[in-house]
Amino acid sequence: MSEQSVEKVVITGIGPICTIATGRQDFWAVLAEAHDAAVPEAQSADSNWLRCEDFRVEDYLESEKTYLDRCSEFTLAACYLAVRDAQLDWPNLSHPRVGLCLGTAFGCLDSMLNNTTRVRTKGSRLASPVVFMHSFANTPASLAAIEDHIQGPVPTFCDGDISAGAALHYAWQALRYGQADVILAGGVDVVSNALVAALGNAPNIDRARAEGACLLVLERQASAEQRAAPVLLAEVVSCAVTGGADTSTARQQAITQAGQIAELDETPCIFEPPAVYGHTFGASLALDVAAAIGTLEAGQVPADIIAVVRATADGRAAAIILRNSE
Amino acid sequence: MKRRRVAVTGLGVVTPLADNVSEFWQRLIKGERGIKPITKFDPSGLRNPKAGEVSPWQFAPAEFGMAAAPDEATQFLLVAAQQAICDAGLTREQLAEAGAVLATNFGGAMSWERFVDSFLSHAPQSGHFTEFRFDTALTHLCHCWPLSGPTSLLSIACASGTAAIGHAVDLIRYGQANIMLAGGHDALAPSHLAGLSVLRTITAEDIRPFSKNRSGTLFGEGAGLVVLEDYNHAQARGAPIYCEVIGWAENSNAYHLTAPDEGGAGMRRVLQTALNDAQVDSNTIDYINAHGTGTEYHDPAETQAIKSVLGDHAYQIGVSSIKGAIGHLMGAAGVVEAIATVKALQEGVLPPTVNYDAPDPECDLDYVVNQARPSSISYAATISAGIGGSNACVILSQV
Repeated sequence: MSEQSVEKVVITGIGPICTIATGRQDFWAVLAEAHDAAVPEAQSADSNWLRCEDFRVEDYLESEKTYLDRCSEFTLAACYLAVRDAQLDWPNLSHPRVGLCLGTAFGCLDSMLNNTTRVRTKGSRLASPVVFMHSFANTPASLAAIEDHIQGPVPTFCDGDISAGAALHYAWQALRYGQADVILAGGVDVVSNALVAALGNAPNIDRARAEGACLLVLERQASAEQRAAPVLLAEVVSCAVTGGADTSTARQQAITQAGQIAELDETPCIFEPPAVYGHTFGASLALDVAAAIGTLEAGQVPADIIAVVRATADGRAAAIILRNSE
Repeated sequence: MKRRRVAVTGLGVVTPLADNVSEFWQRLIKGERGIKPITKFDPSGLRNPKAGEVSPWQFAPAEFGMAAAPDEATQFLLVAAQQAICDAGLTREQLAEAGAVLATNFGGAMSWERFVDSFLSHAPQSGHFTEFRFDTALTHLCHCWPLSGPTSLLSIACASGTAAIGHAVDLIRYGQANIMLAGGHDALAPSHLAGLSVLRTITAEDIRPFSKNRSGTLFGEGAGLVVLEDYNHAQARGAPIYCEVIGWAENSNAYHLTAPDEGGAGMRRVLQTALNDAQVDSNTIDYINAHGTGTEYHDPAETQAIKSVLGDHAYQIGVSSIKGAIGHLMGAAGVVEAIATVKALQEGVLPPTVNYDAPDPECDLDYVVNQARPSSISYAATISAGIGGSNACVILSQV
């Protein structure tokens, strides 16, 4: 066994996009006002899905793109917001030491549907190479890496509702053991025709189904301090992903394991995600973490340590323990 | 903290050559090919009607406690998992603490085709969608075996399988699990083959990695799964240890969705970073299982990457691609190729690069052309690259 140093990991930027707000400050402001808000009403009578109607990717791009899946659009925009929130100094970063970990339950379903529909209706010869190469689950992260010249690890995790948790877990571990200096991590999922057709239009049990994205800038604390990062939002104390049991057991296992890694003496306060931004599938845990940091910052919870946890219906769970960095 | 050693203790494969490791390896080193005409759907309009199809194929759902067969890609994965778990001699009780990292490009690809058919008929079937979901094989795996350790599903195109091994290695190294299953799976389906065909990634001829007359790749289907284990844990239970995973890395070219970057810079960095992680010098590597797709631009870029990291030593070792024999297995490729590398270490035989017919000045390494070769090797690397610009590399060593 060889010695491995262990580094502290901090969050220095947040790029949320959801139906209630875009950008960290607006997101936190809306959450502060809507703390006890109920499930939002659907935007139209025939749909129980919430879309970000005002979202325009052009607001976040340096140059025009010929084709982008909506999932890629959200990813690029969340990346743009997170990088600027953290005030990362791109020219002076070592790009092979910068990564991007994205979680998405469904990826680029619109492009997948477009590609398959063309093949099924027109034949293989008339498939579109452009649509096809934009239909991979890892296309959004790859495009963000190309856009921002991110040359470190760029994995995409497709773990249903805990996709962002898997991404955050990987990013935290990679930074903790010195494999990178900065990693943008989070999740994305968008409302697409295929998804609506597959999951139906019935109201969801506890919150509306919605689209959204959120990337968080995670840094080794030493890197953040070296560059004099303007804001240290929170420390990521530990992360855990567990699987195989029923939902409630998996949740408890994830919290317990994360607590053990963090060497906590008692179970941390569990963050209750608000319903206002809906259920955003692969983006959920990243938006939950962004919201939880907001409550820590605002002193709305009685502790300085908080756990964010989610589980999938088939019994896999992810937990992230955060500490107020102040 | 102490970084724990990671052992490979179980192997399982479903490939176009064979659906078990022993036969797969024997046929591989004999130079046999598993590329054949596609029978599972009409290949009309594709640049090549052949692929690495797994046929004939039979799956018994009851053996896995299932009432009905899941998507074919999931079937491949479950069969590979069953082999690897049996090979590692793991009991259900021991598996209860294990985790899994799986990899796929397309999830349940045939179920996706069925879902789209139902969608186009205005009667979308959510059951097909559920079987398509990228993580559906992971869900089934966790139902078949009581895994309660860390689980995740990774999708970084054709580098997914290699990266899955790396992610699982880290979870053991840093104490989050003692046993991890790392697997990759994908099945052939009309839509993605059509996409790969119009991208002209698919050749109209044979796949000829590193050969002057190469003109593209051919895809295949299947699954591979390895059991990874904390070295001390494996020793304590008397498990068979094939080899160690001593290092790995993944990265992004950050250049283009489909084209390799100049000089294979991303692959060069991933190989160098993996060697750094393994804490071994580049001249200790005895064999490289290359990604070697047989496409015009990839093979010279990978050759350049290997030469720039290994220097003159690159000319002293064997570098082979097994894609001529089984095709490019997409999300399964990295794991199946890692398993071929494990067997090369164990048996002291380098698998050949088949269909090689003419040297290319841009690809001037020793590609173990057309015939397997006995060679005692202590350290080996396996490299993968994928659409989107992802690269991954794993370093293996004799115990």
